[in-house]
Amino acid sequence: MNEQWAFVAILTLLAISVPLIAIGLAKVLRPKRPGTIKQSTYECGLETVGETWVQFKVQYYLFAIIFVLFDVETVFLYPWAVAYGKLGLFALVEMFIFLGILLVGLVYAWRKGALEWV
Amino acid sequence: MEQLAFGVLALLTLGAGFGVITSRTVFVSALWLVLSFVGVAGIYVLLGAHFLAVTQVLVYVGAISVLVLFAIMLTRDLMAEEHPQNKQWVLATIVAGSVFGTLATIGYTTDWALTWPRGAAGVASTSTETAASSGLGSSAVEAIGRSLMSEHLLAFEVVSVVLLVALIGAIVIARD
Amino acid sequence: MSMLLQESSAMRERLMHLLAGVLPEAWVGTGVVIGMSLLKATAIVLVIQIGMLYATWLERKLIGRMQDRLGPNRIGKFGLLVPFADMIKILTKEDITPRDAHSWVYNLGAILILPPALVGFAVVAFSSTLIAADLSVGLLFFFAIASTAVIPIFMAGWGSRNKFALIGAMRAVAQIVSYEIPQVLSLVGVLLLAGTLSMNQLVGSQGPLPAPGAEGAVLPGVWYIFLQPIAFVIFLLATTAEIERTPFDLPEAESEIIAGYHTEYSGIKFGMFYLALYFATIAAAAVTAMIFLGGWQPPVPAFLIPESGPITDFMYNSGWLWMTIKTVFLVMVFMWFRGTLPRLRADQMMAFCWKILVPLSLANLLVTGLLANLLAPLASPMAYLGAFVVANAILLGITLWAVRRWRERGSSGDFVFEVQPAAAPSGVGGGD
Repeated sequence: MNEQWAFVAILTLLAISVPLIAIGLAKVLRPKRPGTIKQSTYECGLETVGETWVQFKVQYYLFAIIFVLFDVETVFLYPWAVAYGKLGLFALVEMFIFLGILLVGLVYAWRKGALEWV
Repeated sequence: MEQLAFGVLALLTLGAGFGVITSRTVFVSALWLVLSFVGVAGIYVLLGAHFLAVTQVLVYVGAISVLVLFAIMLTRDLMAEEHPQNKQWVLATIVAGSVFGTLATIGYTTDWALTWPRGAAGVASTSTETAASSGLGSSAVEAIGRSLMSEHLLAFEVVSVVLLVALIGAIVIARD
Repeated sequence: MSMLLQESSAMRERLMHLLAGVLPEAWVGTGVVIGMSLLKATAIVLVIQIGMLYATWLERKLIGRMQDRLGPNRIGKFGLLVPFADMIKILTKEDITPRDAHSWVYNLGAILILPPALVGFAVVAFSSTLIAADLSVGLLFFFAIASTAVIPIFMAGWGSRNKFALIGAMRAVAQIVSYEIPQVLSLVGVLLLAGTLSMNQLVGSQGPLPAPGAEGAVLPGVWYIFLQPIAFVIFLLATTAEIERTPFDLPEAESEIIAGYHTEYSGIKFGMFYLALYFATIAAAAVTAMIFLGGWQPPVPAFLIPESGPITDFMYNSGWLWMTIKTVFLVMVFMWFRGTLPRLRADQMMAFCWKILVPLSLANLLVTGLLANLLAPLASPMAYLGAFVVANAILLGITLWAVRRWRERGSSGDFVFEVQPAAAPSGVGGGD
């Protein structure tokens, strides 16, 4: 079992080194002609005005929070599903309750317009 | 070999933690934090808690990091280098030191022998464990599921309520 | 592929002898593990790299044909050398780094975009014995790795110091993150029936051939696409959104916010984003094939396979063939989507995810749970098949009816797919 995880670690290292090798190779192969205009920030050909700052949009954060919620819910659902064959009807009822409570959350978010993308 | 792996992971996690507090941009601190999450996931793997490791990556790196990064990007002047000055650093050092001391003492003096039947010493043996003895893996997830439904049922249902409260709270605050 | 298995044990022996001469006693075991892992990892990277190169060729040819043109056909016969021409082009382009870009976050974003797509291949079973790491939590592992892809996107968007790159990055992250939920939720139904998170066992439970190490009968014995068609559709759509392909490729669409989070990257660094996209497509196709289409299982029911004989041997050894066919088929389905479907708007995309896919996958999971419980005493694949097909049909019917009623009601501007004139709220709009 640990050998498999060692493989995962080694694959990760290899996967990180592939882009490094590719970029290194390209560094050798490509022309290098830095120029002022070329290196300025790209904005469809216009000059950049003002600082690099993004308008605060709370929707992004709300989506992220709802996502965290459902992610944690998924984490609870997976062991339940795997053990399902060995559990009885009671487990289903318990999970219904769990999902029901979270469904209330989703409906609340829906009603309050938290799921709208502006 | 496992000692080496643990050493590397521990160094990674601690180094990332150090990176969090020493980097000058908040965004970069958040990135170091993500690295420390990955390190912790690796340590979970070494402990044999595969499901927990995968969950750690899924929830912490995939969800909570996103939350943290969104929060940073939406509330800060992005490129500012910050030089926060802490006037209370003496008190902070004392508090942090005592918390660390308490945790370290607990860590050293507790008998961590697990009741999970993994062998006499309760530790994973060499990296060439056979498939038979590590067939534990799949039953571990099943065991988690079963215990969620029996021993820890109340905690499980309470978790859903806590999540609901968090969601409603976030929406109420954000709507202002 | 039992040949390959014997070869790999032979290789392990040789490696052990080789290292025994070089390393001290205690380190040989470690050395063998690292050596074998390196070999497997290199093999995977090479094979998938070639696969990816030809996936780009296939995409251009296929989409060309769908648009009634030939696609590349000049470089090499049928344009087969085009991927290499592309490679040379990308490697030799000048790397224009914006002056203001953050020193290392910018570069790290380009470097780290590739690993999540590649590491996912660790749990892909190319055949019943050709799985690099049959982790006991393989399924969740794949999605955990896929979910880490958002971090390099953030890095790319922020490190470029470009307002639009940043907005593009945040949108892309919001999209990826939202569609992860239906993606993993739809699989819970499959898990209820399979009872395992290990990829190989999951494929093995789709019958007729058991995976190595399986205990007990092979249930349910049919491909999960038949038992969970709704889950399959949800999973396919959510995965298309996850890998940011059309119709969900808003973050990188050419006519949109310039090029989104990879605006400021040129040359090989842009190549990395491109590569990651194709690796992810192949990985997604492979995983979908494994979960829903029976992976390396041959497409014949159990009773048609004789006890022994050449046909049986062929069936046992041809796992890689079936897997390849299914994966290529699904890759072509993804390309088919790209050539046919128009792009979704950001709000349509989010509404579709949270208001349709998530409730549907929850409903599917509840129905599956109920049915699995009721069907437990019966142990025949046919009973499962019949019951689930009926249940899914009912669920689909209810969903379609609900959506239609909702649109007819002119649901307060929610979820509008056609442009409705303000004075006619009864939704008698044309089209779908």
